[in-house]
Amino acid sequence: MSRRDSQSAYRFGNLFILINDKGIIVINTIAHTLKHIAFKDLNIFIQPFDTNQKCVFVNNTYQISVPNYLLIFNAGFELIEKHPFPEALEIHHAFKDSRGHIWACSFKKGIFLYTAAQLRTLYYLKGKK
Amino acid sequence: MSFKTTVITILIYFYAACGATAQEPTNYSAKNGLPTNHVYDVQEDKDGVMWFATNRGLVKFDGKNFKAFTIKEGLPNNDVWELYLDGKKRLWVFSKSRYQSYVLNDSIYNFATSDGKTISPAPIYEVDNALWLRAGYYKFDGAEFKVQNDYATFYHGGSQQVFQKHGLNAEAAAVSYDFIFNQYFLIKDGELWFLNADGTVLKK
Repeated sequence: MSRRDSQSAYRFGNLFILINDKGIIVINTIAHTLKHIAFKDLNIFIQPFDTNQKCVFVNNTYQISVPNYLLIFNAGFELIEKHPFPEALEIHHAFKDSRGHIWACSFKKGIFLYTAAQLRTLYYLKGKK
Repeated sequence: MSFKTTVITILIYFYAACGATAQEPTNYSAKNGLPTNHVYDVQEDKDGVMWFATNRGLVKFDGKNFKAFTIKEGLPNNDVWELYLDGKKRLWVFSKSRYQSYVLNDSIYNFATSDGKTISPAPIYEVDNALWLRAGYYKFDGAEFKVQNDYATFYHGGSQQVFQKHGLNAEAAAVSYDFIFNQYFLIKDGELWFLNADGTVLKK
């Protein structure tokens, strides 16, 4: 039984957000405008999926999780954070909390916590490469 | 080995150790307090407490300990699929059931569907402080999830007629229906169509 549709639809105020394994479609229901964000344009290459996508609106940002990634967009739907997870962890959903920690969920291995301090170090070291 | 070389070596090891630690997340599983390894969803509540939806109930994590809420504590179903913090800061807990719940001060409050049907959690819409469940088009009125029959009938029965009117094959296009404002969105060949419920074009 699928937990979610193959194309999930979310609604936050005037924005209607559709997510599938190709990308994200943002429709403004008042302005009647469309924005399409292809995952390949974000350098995200994911296996086709049909059940594990989610969008939440937190602190004026949109957090979208797809398998092995957490993507955070600003109110204008520009990508401001991209968090990839190791495939071995089999992460299907992740969430960044108000303290900056990321909680990543799996169906087989429980929860993985990346603290804000860990993330800062991780990206500092990545930037130094 | 000179003193300077020793210090540098220690620093390199320290740096490497910090890096390795930083890249390894803490894993919470059935081995250290979670009731299960099967976790569907995570949500932070208004007080910064973390909650998890699992196949063995709703789980609260205060930073040290896990506490599970199950049927014993009043949940309608232990297989909790979805969590949602609404604009009123209520933590909703959704499962496949004819009751949906929110938790407040560690107590579970259940609300039935008005037609008594079991529904599967689906994306939740919150518009103008009203909570909607797309699964069957239920709107929470404060006492129950009231089915919106007009929307459900229209969505399931009307869409093909709308598309055929414009010579469109719905299967070839990305399409969705905004049942709150009675609009279809249809994307075909990169072009966005907005259609009224009766099929008239709002904007192309």
